[in-house]
Formats: sequence, structure tokens, C-alpha cells
Amino acid sequence: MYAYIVRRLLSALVVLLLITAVVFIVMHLLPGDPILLYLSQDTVTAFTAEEIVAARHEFGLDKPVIVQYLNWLSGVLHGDLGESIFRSTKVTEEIGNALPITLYLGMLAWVISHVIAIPAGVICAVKRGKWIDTILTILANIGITAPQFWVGILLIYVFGLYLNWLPIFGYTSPFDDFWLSIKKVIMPVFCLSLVPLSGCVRQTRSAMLEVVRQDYIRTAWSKGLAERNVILRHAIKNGIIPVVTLAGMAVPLIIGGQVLIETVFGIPGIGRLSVTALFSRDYAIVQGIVLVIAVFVVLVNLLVDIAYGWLDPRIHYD
Amino acid sequence: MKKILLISLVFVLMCGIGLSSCAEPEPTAPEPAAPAPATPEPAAPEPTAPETGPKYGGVIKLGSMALSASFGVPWNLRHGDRTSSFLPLELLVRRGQEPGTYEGRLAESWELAPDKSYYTFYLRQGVKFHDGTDFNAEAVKWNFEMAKAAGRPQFANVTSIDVIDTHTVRINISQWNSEFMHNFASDTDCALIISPASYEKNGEEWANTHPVGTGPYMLKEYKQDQYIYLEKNPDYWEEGIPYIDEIQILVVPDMVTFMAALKAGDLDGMWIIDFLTASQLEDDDRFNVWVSFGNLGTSLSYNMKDPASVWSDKKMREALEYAIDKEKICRALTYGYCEPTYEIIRGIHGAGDPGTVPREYDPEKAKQLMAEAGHPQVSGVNLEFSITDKNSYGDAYLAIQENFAAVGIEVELKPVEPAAFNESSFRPTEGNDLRIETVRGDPLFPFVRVMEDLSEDTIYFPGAVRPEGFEDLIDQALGTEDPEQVLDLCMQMERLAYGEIMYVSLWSRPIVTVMKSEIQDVDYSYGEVPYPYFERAWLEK
Repeated sequence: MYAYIVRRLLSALVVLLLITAVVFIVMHLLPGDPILLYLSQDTVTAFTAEEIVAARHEFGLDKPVIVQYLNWLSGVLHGDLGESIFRSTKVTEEIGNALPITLYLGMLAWVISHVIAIPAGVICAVKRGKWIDTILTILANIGITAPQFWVGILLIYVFGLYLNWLPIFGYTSPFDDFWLSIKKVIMPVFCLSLVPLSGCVRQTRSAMLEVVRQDYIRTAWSKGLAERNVILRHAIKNGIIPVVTLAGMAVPLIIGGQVLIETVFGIPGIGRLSVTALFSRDYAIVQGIVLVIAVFVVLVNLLVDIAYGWLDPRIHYD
Repeated sequence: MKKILLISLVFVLMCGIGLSSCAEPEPTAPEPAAPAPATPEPAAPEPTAPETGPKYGGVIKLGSMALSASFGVPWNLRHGDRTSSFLPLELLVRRGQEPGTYEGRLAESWELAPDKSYYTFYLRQGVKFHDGTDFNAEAVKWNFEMAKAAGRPQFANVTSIDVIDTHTVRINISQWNSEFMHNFASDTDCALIISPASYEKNGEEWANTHPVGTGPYMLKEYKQDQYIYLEKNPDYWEEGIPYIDEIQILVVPDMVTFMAALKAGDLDGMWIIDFLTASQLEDDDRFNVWVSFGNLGTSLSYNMKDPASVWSDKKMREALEYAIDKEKICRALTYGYCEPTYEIIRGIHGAGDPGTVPREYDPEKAKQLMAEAGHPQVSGVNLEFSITDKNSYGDAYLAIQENFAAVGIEVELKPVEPAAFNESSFRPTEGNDLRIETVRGDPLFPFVRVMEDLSEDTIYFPGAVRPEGFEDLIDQALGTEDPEQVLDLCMQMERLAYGEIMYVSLWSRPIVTVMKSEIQDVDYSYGEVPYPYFERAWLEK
């Protein structure tokens, strides 16, 4: 197992190197000059050709692309992800501020969605064709098809504007003001949970329906075991394997897919930062975010693979 | 199994909460460079105002699409949104209400040497920075030397700065020009004054997000990408103001969210909102919508320098302007917020009448001019515009396309991603292509815009040919001291530029601001950008 993990981590290094190189080249191939954008972001203030040259030199963008990439790579090895052109701040600081907020919301959404979805999916499978299965399946279909930002705006108008129960926008750390923080995350976390929750309900239902038709489950029933024991002790562990795959895939989606929700609710997370950086061609921030998300995805995939071995003893990694 | 699941869930939740705490370290209060006076002075009684006039107290919460990550060091200011800077920081002088004039702020008066080799500023006495240190000539010298050392072009002509006495400072210059004073008065430039003591004690990184100036509001709390809270400066040098206790600037990146927050009472206003949002708030008595016309405009540019381009022919350029029904487009397709314009120096009509004859919509004349030029039909023309314009102006561009088709110019609309559009606007259009561009204007200081945007030496309008005599007029204006004469020269430049159609001006591009109607006496008139000034603002309730 340890040898497998080491092998995976080594191959991950190659993957990360390739990802950063490709993103770096693509960013530089995109039309748009970060220095012109930086200097002309204030529509009213004019600038001169000399200022362009000075700024290009200041940010090292007058060097060949390969040299810029190698400089960046060397910085990464020293724990320095570079400096943002637009914000005059360290990229590590920018990511350090934004990523925990995104992770906090994303993890809450991920945990809540799976805590609700797995039992709901099991109930749907066990009560197949009954009213509860019908209702939950319809809700899951609505949840998976409703656009997140639209749901977010709907929630803002209902719970923020008309009922005045919840704050409309912004983020507060739970350590600054716990209750305000909870109030502020309810709507965004609900929106973020919708897709993984609905997807997981549907996946759990279909996986469990397949498992409960297996011979060993029929045998368990015929032995007279209680329904609770049959489902919880015999069916779930096998039924949950495809759900684990789905849950693993949902993690990077939740982390990287918060752009719209962060924009609608005014949350200063990694999604908003990455989109702003992309539009302003802020190379260092985009590179930094891509690297962090890539590391995250690689690690989550590794954890998912390890979980397979734990859930299914037939799977070996030696 | 259940235990493991339970422990895992708790662990994930704890990790999430723990990580969220890493995101926002407890805000550290700005450390004043100099300690406050050791003996606390008795609190001054809150000034009372007449019942009908301004009232003290209250908090104003303003929305902003984004906040600058760096707003405390004037020579590092680059970002469009300067509100977080100009509430705590001040200038020596600011732009006056009449064209070409200035008002004293931290300088009470100033004079130009007879040989125009230096300016002397007589500074206001008894002014203190927010950190308690004195504002004086040394502080001005330090600030301007730092800006010059940072390479800001506004200080390129400054050779040295002499402290004459505690409250008199002399700025020596290598070459005077008529707009030199504007460098000290522009709120979008680097002449704002900060406390040298705070900067030197805490360093530039700290100072970038801690504006310690002399302004009516001082920084209370800041969280990047979230909010800036500015509180009233109780020791502000101008007696009796400000009235508002606190101004909060909160990031709301989405207009729909802003609308909901405004109506729910979570926000009191926002500046630079889109036309659709503004139009929805116009008839609501709870809000005031304010529109600024002079500062920005929309234009149609082309390549006059390339002989192969049909637009190198003056008749073809005239035909373009005659072909566009600006009046109807503004009235019907921009929610009535834009006004048609017939000028090259944006806002010049706000400063006076240049005596030009507007080329108003006349498709027949356009066709006739095109026939005379030998190009009765033009096809394969791309009309480039930034995709960010689509919401406010997309329909207007479609209308232009139809106007052009009616006179025989086949145009394909080409929305371009903002970064790519930005880059392309610094090079001439290709062939017969056209480009929608934003032009800067300034009715109070039209010559500043001529120098910055329209002169041959600038990087703007790279496809435009400057008319003969235009640069000579610029040189004359640069050497003229009297603002009225400078304005007169600008009128002459306008006649030349409009006659040669350096570009086709289309309409004003107003900046729209919305505030709750309880907010009184917000002033928009001083800035180069019509930002709201809250010095004298007060809340009715």
C-alpha cells in the first residue's frame, strides 16, 4: 500500500508540472496584455508609453516566456508563488485568504449534501415506488437541473428581501461572529449542496437497487434478518462504492465551481479570485490557483482510491 | 463503522471551520506612529446643528463592485476605485467649480514664480494627520519626493522641493506648462498626502492598506475583498464637519444582489451602476439617481493613416457620422441615460460653444458623400466592441449596424473579450474595420484631456491623423497661463479636430449613482471622476 501511495505521489509531481506548464503557455497565448490592463483599469487616468515599459520590466514580463516560467517554478520550490500584478500582493497571501473560505463553504456543502443524500438514496431504494421514493426522486431531479445562481437569487429575494431572515451578502468568519456566520452561509451552502446532494441521491438509489437484488441480500432476508440489519450491515457497504467515486469527484467541483455562488453572495473565495485574475491576465494568481487546485484534486483522487480498498477487500494495491 | 463515520464527519467540519479562521486573521488596529497626547483632553461636546439643517450621526453603507487591494500609498494607486483613498487622504489643492480653477485644501494659497521656475504653497496651519502627527512642509516634501522616486510621470518636471518654513514649501520645476497645477489637484493621481511617520514606522506593505492622512474620515477596519469601514475624524481641520459617523464600503459584485440589498435596507447606495438597474430605481421615491455626463463618452474609431482604408478619405468619415441616428439610439436604446455628442474633445460643449456645426443624422447626405468618394458600397467591415458593453449598449450597436446597412456599409458586429479588446485598442484598426472606444472628457479641464489623449505624443487613438495645426495649438496652450485663453485654444483645437473627424463621437457615457433619498448634500462636483464626496453629507433620519 505504501509503495502504491509513493508511486502515485511521484506520478502526481509529473502531472502537476505538466499542468502548470500548459496553463502558463496557454495564458501567454491568450490575447490581452496584463500590463496594459493593469495601467488602464482606471478608465479616467491616462498613461504613457514609458510607464508601460517600466511596468513590464517591474513585473519581469519583458523576459522570454520560458525564463518567466522557470523563474516562477523556482519560486514555487522556495514556497513563493509570485506577486499579483493587479493587486501588488503576494499570491500566497491572496490564496491564503481566499482558499480557506472556499474550503469551509465547500466542505460544509459536501458534508451536508452527503449526510442527507446517502440515507435519502437508501430510503428511495428500499421504498421503491412508494410516495417517499417519488417525492425524493422528483426533488433530486429538480435539484440537479436548477441553475445554482438562479436558486441563489431566488433565495436572496425570498429569505433576504421579503422575509428579511437572512443577510443577503457577505462573509463572516465563525470565529468573528458565530451566529452571523451561520446566517450568512445558509443560502450559499444550500445552493452549493444542491447538485452533489441530488446527484448522490440518484446514484445511491440506483446502486442500492442493484445491490438489494443480489443473491446474498435475498439470503439475508430469507434468514429472517431485520430490514435494518440487512440494509446497514450487508447492503450499504457494497452499494456505496459508486457513491464514493461520485463523492470524490464532487470535491474538486465544489472547490472549483463556486464562482457564481461567490459572486452572487459576495463571498471573497477562490472562485471569484480566479475569474478576476483570469480576466485581468494576472498570470501569477492564475498559476497559483491552478497549482493549488491541481494538488487538491490529485490528493482527493488518491484518497478515493485508498477508500476503495477499504470498502472492497477484493481490491489490492500491492 | 458508525463511529468511524461520525468521527470523520466531525473532523471534516472542524477542519473546515479551522481553515476558515486561517483566512481572516483578527484585524489589527492601525498603529499610530506617534503616541497620542499623554493627558487625555476632555471630550469636546458634540456640535449641535439647527433642526432644519444638517444632522450629526448615522452610518452610510455603500456597495462597490470591487475594492482596491492597495489604497493607502498615493504613488502606488492604480485602481479605478479611489473612494477608499480620497475619503481619508487629501490634496494640497483641488479642482474648482469653474473651468481651469483650483480651490485650496491643505494649501491655503499658492503662487507661481514670475519666471515660472517654481510654485510656492502656503500650507494650512493646525492640521494633524490621523496618527496625531503634524501636517507641515516637511510632510509635503517627503510625499512628493516619494512620488517622484516611484517614477510617477506627474512629478517628472519637479527638480527639487524646498522647505521654506514650517508651513511654506517650494516646488522647483524644470519646465512649466499651463496644466502643471492639475498634477497637484487630480484625485486620480499621486498628489494625495499621507503621514510620513506612519509610513516609516510600519512600512509600505502596511501603508498600502492603511491610509493615514488628514481627511474627514479615517480607516477603522479593512478586510480585503470584503469591506472598508471609515470613521469620522473628530479632529478634522474644517470645523463642524463631517456629519456622518461612519462610512462603510462593502463589496457586492453582483447587480441583482445589490438591488435586493438596497431594497432590504442592507445598503444605502452605490456608484457606477448599470443603466438597467438605474432605470428600475428611477421612479422609486426612496432613492435618488444621479447621472454625470461630462467625463466619458463613446466613440467610433478607424484607421485614417492607412491609405488602403476607406476611412482615410474625409468624405467617408463624414458619411459615417451622418449615417448614425444618435438621437434616436440614445432615446430608445440606452434607457435615456446617454446624450448624443458631436465633438472630439469630450465635454468641450460643457465648457463653451466651439462653433462647430453638428453632423446630424442624414442618410441621404451620407450616401451622397460615399458616392462622391467613390465608395457607394463598403462591405466586410468588422465593428469591434468590448463584450462588457453588451448589457448597456448591445442594442445600440445593433442599431448602428442597421443605420450603416441603410447607406450601404455592411458591418459585422464583433464582440471581443475585454482583455483582448484592451490590447487591440492600442493599435490601429485593420483595413476598413471600426472600433467602439471609450473617450475621456473633462468639461472643467478640457486641455488636460487633449494632452493626455489627443496629442500625437500619446498612445491613444493610434489610427487617427491629427489635423494640421493641432499640435501647434497644443504647444501654445501649454505656454499660456490664463485659463480662459487655454479654453479658447481648446475651442480652436475642437474646430480643427471635428472638421477632420479624428473619430466619430457617438454619445456621452454617463456614470450613474444611486443613493437613498435620506442622504443629503453628497457632492459629486470636485473629482476628475464624479465620485461622491461625503465631507458635508448628512442623514435626514
